[in-house]
Amino acid sequence: MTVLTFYIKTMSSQGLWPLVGIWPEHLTEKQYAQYLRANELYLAIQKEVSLMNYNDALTCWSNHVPTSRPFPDFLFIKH
Amino acid sequence: MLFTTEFNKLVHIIRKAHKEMTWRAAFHTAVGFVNVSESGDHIAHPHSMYNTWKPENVRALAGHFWALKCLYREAGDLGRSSAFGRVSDKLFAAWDGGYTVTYQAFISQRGVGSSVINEVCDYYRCAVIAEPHFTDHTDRVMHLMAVTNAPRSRVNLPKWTF
Repeated sequence: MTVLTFYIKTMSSQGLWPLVGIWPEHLTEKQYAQYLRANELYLAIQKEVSLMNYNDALTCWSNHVPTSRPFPDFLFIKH
Repeated sequence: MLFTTEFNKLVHIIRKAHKEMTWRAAFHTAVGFVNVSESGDHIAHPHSMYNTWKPENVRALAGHFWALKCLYREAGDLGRSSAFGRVSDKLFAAWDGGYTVTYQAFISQRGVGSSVINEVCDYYRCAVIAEPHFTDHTDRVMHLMAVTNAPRSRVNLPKWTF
């Protein structure tokens, strides 16, 4: 299992995806801790994906990441 | 807000420094701190915004929220007027009773949400970056004074005593 797969599986198994990129106004105390973890993991996923080549990254993203999270195109330099 | 690793670390540092603080409070404190980063030198001061407030600062903040209450009432926003009025009442009561007010205790109270915390942070930022020739009002007060056509002198300028 790669680090990226581990991060993605953790996000899915712990139900952290809905907490990414939201403004945490109405969360419970437990959800605040999860919110911090979710966003940190999401940053880590983006970092791992940015190290892949563009097409592999795109495939991986579309296969494993919920469609509500757009592909981070800005991480790749396009010529 | 752009979530960054540095921001996440800051939340954890704040939580670690104040064991009794909730994650919610630590999060909003970190957001406030990012907004007042110019005053980073003051964070460890025992009478900074993040620690114990001196009675004169409690009184000044109570007056500030009272002014917001009055300005919102004039602007016709009675909901916000009463919300800020309640915050003002609590601070006046604490000052009047001679109670010690800490940042943690203040933000843990019912009715103190992100709007109030942001206002306190903005007040603090305006106060600590003030200079003899220029002191600004908070963004909220500036907006309300423009809306209600009130003179600048109507609201006391932010001031923080260390």
